[in-house]
Amino acid sequence: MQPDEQVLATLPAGAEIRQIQYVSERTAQQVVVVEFPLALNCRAIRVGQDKGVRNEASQGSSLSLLMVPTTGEGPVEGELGRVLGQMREWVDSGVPASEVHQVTDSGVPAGSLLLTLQGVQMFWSPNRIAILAAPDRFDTLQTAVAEATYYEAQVRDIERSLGAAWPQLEADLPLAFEFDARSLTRNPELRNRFSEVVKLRARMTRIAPHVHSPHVYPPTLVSQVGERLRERTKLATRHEFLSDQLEVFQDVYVQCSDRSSDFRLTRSGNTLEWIIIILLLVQVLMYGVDILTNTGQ
Amino acid sequence: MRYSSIDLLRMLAIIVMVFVHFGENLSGVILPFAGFGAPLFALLSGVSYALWVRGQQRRGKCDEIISRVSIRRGLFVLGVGFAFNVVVWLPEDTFNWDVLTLIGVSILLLNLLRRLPRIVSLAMALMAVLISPLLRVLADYNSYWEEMYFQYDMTFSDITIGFLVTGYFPVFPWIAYSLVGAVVGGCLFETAPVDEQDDPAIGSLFGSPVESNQPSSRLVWWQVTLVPGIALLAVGLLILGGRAFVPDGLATTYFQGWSMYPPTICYVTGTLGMSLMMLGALHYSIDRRLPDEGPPKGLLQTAQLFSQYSFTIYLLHHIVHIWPLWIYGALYGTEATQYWRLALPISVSSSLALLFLVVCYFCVRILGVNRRYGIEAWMRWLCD
Repeated sequence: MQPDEQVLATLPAGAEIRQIQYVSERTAQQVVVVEFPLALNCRAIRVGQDKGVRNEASQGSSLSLLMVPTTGEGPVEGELGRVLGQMREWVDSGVPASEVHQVTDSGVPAGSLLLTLQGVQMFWSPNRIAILAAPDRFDTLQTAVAEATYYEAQVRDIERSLGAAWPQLEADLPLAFEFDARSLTRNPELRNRFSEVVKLRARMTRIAPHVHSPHVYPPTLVSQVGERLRERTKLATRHEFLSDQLEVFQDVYVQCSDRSSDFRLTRSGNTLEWIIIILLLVQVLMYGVDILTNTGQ
Repeated sequence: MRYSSIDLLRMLAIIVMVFVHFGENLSGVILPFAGFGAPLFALLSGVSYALWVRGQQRRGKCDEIISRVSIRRGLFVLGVGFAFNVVVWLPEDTFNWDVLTLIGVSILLLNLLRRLPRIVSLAMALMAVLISPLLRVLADYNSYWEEMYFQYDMTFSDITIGFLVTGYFPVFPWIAYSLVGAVVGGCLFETAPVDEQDDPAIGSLFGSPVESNQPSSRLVWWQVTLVPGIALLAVGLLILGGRAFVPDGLATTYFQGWSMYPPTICYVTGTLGMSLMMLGALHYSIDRRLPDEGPPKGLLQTAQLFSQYSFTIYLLHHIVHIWPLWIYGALYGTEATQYWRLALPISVSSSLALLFLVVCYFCVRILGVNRRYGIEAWMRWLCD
């Protein structure tokens, strides 16, 4: 028996696990859960039993949703605590045990976050989300969490990329001030880093409308889930900090690019000047030899 | 690992030089391979200088110190060159502008050029080759040469013209070899580690190679050596073949035949091309293929020893065959130079050259690779 199936067996009847994949390719077979804005070139699709869809979707990042019903076949009063515990355990099992109680660099707990909203209880983590709600709200909630989680994942990914790039930035700092012939060999890597920074900046800009969008009025369940997740994951603040950090990166690499360009321009100018000087020297030399020869005679 | 290719080429240059000088000075015979040693020396001086500068930079030496040591070494070689002329060729030949004075000047010039783009050095080398025929016409080159011997008056104009155009190794066009060598050395041996065992600089006659364990990362070896080498050789052959088809004016300036005195364009491009091709071929077949571990053995070890003491050997081989000639002439002739080029048959002088090389081999083996003796050691003591 699969671990997920073991979990489902202990949960109330009607509980199910849904797989969501984020992909950029569009095909007719896809069951689209969220169509993100065109600039993001991404859609969240539901991966079901269809092997073809699963294989195609496996190319993107994934999200697992554990949907547990509250009414009808849902848990009775006394069982609620046990069900919630199992849901939390399932969500936390997606995070390494040693990190469950830690707080990440971005200030968000590594383990699950509990959200309670309009009778919906939700344990959220970047890869696994467990939702206890009325079955008729499953699809709505699925859309809401798939969308909010995507933006959080984007911010998290940019944070990870930038975090890893700081030591390299410090190593490149001297080139922002001084550039010489030996540094020219580093031009391709500087160009790549600058390009990476601009790409990250572009990603930040593309997700900004969602991160900084005002609260929707009148509120709906979908909008409220998204807003609450944004607040709990401190998305707006993290986005702002990332912007500041990216500015530093961009400043340094723009300066490196300026220094490199200045150096090359100066060098080609100097080369031309030297060629002119050499020609003048040749002329002077010929005059000199002519004069010396005549003097000697 | 040393660059054995440079050691081998330098040893080859020494062997050629010893046989040619013994044959010429003792027997008056110009051997067929005369004229191939000096171009190799001059080219390798540039290569070694580029490697030495890189080694110093990687050791963390600042530009100012590198410049200071370069100038001292350049002046040292220049001074030794003048002293050598006085002591070996007698005072009237102080300003005959031998290869040592050329190397001294080239070190000073390379020090000035090392911070400039390589294209500037190449442009200077090209100009040096191109204007030398015109300068020879202006200076009336042949009027300074009598029976293949450079004659000049002790006047400022003759000394300056000798330095620039008409001497044995005038700046024009000989400086081109060092300039090209420095560019090729910079490109071919792009990566040299910090821990070379000793300063090469101009070390042995003009510098021993630094250590390396990696090939060039930017330009491929054959792009730096074989392609320009073949192109230069082709230019030399074209000039030789095209002489009959050009007007007389050009034929007597730019299209002169193969000649070391004066160094015609055909000679310069031909010898430069051959030297580059040899350097490339040896770099490919030896430097890049031999394992890095341990000291070299056999021929490579001999080459290393000869290369490390090349400056000393250069001075010594003149002393051992010229001084006896002068002394014998002074004692039994009318003047010291009476037996110059007439003393011995070529078979005997060649045997003496061989004997000198064998004795040299045993001497440098005894002295070993530490280089605590010889003119190279003096230079390091005085200049570094």
